[in-house]
Amino acid sequence: MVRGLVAGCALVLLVNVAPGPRAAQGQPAPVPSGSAPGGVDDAVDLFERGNGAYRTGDFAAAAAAYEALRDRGLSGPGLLYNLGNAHLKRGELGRAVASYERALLLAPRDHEIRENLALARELCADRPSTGVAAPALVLSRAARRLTPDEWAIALDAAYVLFLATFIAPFHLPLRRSLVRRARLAVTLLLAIAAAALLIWHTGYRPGRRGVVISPEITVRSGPGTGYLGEFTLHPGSVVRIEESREDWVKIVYPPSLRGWTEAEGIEPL
Amino acid sequence: MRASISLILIGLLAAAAPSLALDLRAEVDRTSVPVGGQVALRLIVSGAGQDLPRIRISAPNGFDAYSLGTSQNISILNGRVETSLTERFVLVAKEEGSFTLGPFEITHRGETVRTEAITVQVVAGGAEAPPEPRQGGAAAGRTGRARDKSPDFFVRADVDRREAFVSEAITLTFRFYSRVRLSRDPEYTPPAATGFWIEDLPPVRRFYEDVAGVPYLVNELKYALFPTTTGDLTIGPASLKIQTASDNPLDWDPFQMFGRDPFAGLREGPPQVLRTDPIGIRVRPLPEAGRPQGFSGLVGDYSLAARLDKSTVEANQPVTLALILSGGGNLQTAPAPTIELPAAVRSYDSGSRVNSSKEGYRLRGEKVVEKVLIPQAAGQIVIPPATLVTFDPRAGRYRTLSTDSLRLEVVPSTAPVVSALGGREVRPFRRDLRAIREDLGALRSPRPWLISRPAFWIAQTVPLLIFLKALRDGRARRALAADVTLARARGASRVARRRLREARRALDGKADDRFYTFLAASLSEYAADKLGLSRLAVPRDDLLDALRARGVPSEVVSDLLSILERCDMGRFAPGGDAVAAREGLLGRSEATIVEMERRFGG
Repeated sequence: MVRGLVAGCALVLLVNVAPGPRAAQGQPAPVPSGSAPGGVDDAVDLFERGNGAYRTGDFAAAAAAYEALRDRGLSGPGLLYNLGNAHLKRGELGRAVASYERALLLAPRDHEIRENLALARELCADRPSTGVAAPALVLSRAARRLTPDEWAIALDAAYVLFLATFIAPFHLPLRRSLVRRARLAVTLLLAIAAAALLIWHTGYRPGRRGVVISPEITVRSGPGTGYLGEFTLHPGSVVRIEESREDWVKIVYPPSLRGWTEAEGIEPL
Repeated sequence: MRASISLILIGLLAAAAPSLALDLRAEVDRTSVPVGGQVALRLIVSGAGQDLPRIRISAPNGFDAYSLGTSQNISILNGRVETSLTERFVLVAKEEGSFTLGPFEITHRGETVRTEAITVQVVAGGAEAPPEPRQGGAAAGRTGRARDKSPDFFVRADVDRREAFVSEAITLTFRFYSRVRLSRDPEYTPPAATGFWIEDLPPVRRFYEDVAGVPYLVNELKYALFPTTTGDLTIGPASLKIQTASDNPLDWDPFQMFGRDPFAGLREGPPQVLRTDPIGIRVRPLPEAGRPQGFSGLVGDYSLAARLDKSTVEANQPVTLALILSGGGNLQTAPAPTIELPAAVRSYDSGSRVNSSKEGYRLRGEKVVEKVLIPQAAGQIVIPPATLVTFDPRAGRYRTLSTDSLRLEVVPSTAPVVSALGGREVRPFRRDLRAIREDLGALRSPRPWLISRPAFWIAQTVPLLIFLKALRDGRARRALAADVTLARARGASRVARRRLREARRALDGKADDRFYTFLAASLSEYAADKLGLSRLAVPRDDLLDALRARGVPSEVVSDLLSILERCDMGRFAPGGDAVAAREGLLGRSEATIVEMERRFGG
């Protein structure tokens, strides 16, 4: 029976880490194959051309090549990181921050992405006002140490172990206190993983955040130019997107500055 | 109610009071007044009793006369009641000259009394300062409204222009004219101005103004309006809710003598709402002709300047370039000036700020756009002019604003910092981006999140199903362990097979009786376990009877008995059987157990 349980759980993990449909939620398509335009060889060639342009200082050409690859669905953290570098070198601070943020979502522990993003943030004209809720910030940072998939696997493991703590006493000579402690530990792990996934889902799922890319956006009290401008934001400022209405989006600049601005000035993450 | 009670008291007291002489006095608040000015006239009748006569006057020469109402005062001193009746009038001077008021007279119960004549000089207009608005007494508001041609209060809204370009500033002025005091602060609702961006221009201004010869206290508010669209727009009405004191003439006021009425709030009249007329504005689009390339959309009168926060800087150290746009207009939405910086400097936008002023009721200020420049090498760098194209509505043409060129002296970078602890602290003297990734691994395509895949959630049911099955089996095993008889019955076959295996291992040990011991044990223990009997204490005959009682066929029971007896002989008689005979006995035992198993339904 224990063997059956282990085999079943292994099957679950296998199912979960297997490649899934990429078309869902606007996710990138699979890597194209073949040497025809749009194939692997073409993609490799485009990537190397982008790298070459970057090395020679033609950052606009490099950014164009990386963008073309991204349009083909090859939006891995490495490519997004390169794209962020190219944008920053050509002075497109907003687009650079957007690329680094996207890369960081896929590889949250990558030091180089973090360092370049920190450098880009230093150039941003806006600073969030003090008063950001410290516990919320700590939780958010902790959740972002792992990717959503890593948290999902942790959640799965904790779930299987939690069930196992009820079965094991039938088959193994375990002390009851030991079983209780083990159950408490896996329950804690289960709760942490679930909370982290909730943070990712509510705060960082695609389209939930955006980066200012226009030279300056005016944030107004309502979705129209007839409303009074309340504050302005500049390239590189990361905002939370709360609502969209036609060509306008309602944004929140941390911790609590809210308002509407034209959607074209914000690049959703 | 209060007046009725007073009259009853007066009636009761008047009967016992001795008669008092009738008296009449006339008083004015001034004897010199400009044309259009006002003179307050009071005629006071005093005497005993409540039926004092009312005074009627006609307008004196050179004046218009308006009644401000009547007030009554009663005093009781040492049992004597004295009443005084005051008739108040306002006289508005019509022409310059010297005029005589009175003498005024009344006749009551055959007695005639009269006042002295009063001379009033009316001088040319403006010779005297306008009076403060009157205390909000009961009659003041009513007289002004009922008889005076000039209203006590009104509102007015004006704009400095009826036609403007889009984004051009328009000044809206709201004025509240009043010549009476209000019982409470008015409630003001600003005008609705759809299609305009509005900035208020504080502070509220208070001044006196003559309107048709009548002095008013004026409260003035100003706004700057910037049209955001073209076409015919309308500035909606502004409204003011006011409340004056009651004008009931019977509501006499014993507290007026103190100059301030603590019960004024209790005698308020109904609220009134004053509204301005809507104002139409024609908003013209900016001219297409002559519009330069790169026009910023900024409308107004502006100037542009540039400055560096230092003129000399080390290589790779930052210097701030400030582009300052100043003037009158909507600076909040002003874009950043355009500047092409030399390749020898790296530049980063450092934000902008707006410092605005509303002094003199004009919206002016400056917008400062800052850039951080980092020169890459030593030498002299020329910062070229920054430009911004604006539209000047007064001139009706586009203007290109430009700054002067700036010179920046860049000196070589100094050595790294040395630690105070001794030795050289290694610190980066500049920070640059980490290098790009050139390995093809950068091209991998990410997969959607696990939690967004339905398979993830469906797969979660697998451990749950396994868990439920394992839980059920575990519970069954625990129940089995608690029932020894059932456990022995279920385990009988397993125990018998084990004994048979042991017997087979002892098959060729001729001098050894273990073969027979294991063989007999396999059969007797199997039967005892199946029947729930003790393996040791049950006599063989009882065991065989119990087998027959459970429906095991007689021939099987006979075989069993035969084998057990053969085992007894083998264990206790010397010599024993040959291996072949033992194998035959072992086969018979296995067949007997299989047959019994079939009968017990195992």
